[in-house]
Amino acid sequence: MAAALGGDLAAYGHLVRRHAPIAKRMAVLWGAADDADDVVQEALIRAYAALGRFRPGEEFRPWLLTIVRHQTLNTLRSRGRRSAREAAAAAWPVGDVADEALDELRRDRLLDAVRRLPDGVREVVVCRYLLELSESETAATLALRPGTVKSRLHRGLARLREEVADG
Amino acid sequence: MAEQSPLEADLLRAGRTLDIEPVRDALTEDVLAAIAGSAPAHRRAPRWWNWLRARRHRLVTALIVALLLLAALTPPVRAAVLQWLRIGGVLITTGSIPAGTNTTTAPFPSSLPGSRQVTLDEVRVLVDFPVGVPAALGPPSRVTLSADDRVVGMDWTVDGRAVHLDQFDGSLSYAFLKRSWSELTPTDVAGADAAWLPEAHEVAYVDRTGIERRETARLSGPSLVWQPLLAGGRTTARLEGFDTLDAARRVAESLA
Repeated sequence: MAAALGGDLAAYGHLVRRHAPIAKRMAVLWGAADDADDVVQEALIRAYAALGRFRPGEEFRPWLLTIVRHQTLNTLRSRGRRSAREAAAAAWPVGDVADEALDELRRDRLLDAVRRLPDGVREVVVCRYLLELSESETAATLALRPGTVKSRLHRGLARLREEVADG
Repeated sequence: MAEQSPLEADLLRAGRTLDIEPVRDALTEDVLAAIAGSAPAHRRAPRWWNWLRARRHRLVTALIVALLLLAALTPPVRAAVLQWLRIGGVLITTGSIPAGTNTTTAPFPSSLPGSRQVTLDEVRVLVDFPVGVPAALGPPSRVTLSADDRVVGMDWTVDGRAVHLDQFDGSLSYAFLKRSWSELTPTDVAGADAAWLPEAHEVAYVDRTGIERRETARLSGPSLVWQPLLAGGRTTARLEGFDTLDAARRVAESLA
């Protein structure tokens, strides 16, 4: 029994190391800001406790990200509605643009436009392009049907195209 | 992605300029400590168990207690964790070896049944993934290719001991199943995720359709699984024949 649990912990530690970066990225993009590390830690502890509900054959990443998203939203809610709204509206931390194909101005305008998308559409766009999940991972993470993901992506891209084209 | 619009490409580029700090160093330890400190939910004594305990003098026989205790301790956690533990094309899973399988008779070094001997130059033409050779071991004494042209095997004799290396493209589906192991050390080889199984365990081949080929099952000694990056392509490799992680890693890192 002790050996079995030891094996569990080693295996789980492996999963934590592997998935913590994308979990943190999600927490930050969903507005957790300075609480992102705590959100990730809490989500990983909860995920372990919830292992019994994991269905064999399911992918781990979207399953974990679902928990991270809930944990982030809970944290924001516990901060109070106003500070939650402020956190969600705060700009994402950006670095330099090393790529010549994209200038800083367009980058900022694009990310701004993504943040202003309606919640449902924004979440799908962020999962797909900023977390770089596949469409099916996006669907699993947000508990949406694949068709819904497709249509929201389509809508989101159309809206972004409009917003960044003028001006 | 098949067709990517300029806008989608810009979104991906914009995302890659996000500056998100890595999680703090101690996070993994903190998570594991929290888990180890509080037993997972299903292992906590359920309410009915406490109820029974409080009234144990009323219980008819000790046998009932024993049976209930057994039920309360069945660990589904291990099964669930391992469900996900996949390094490239190797799935490291739990479970006992199915009855009626003789896993000790397969000789080692062992290539997959039906595999044929080829030369290094031939194999590089026959498979469409990059095949490396560990510089630390030099040219292999034997190169084999599985009947389905999917797994390249190489053998050496190092200090009188057999060393075997399998390489394949593990990006689409997994090809090996490792089972019935007791210890696992997560590690890395040249920066890529890797797993070291320090004790004997079962290894079986899974064909392209996902069917486990029980006839290929055999007992593997300690082995290292990792995903080498060769000529721009990421493949999966498993190395068997070394007793220590250090020795195995040294060879793994010399794969080129």
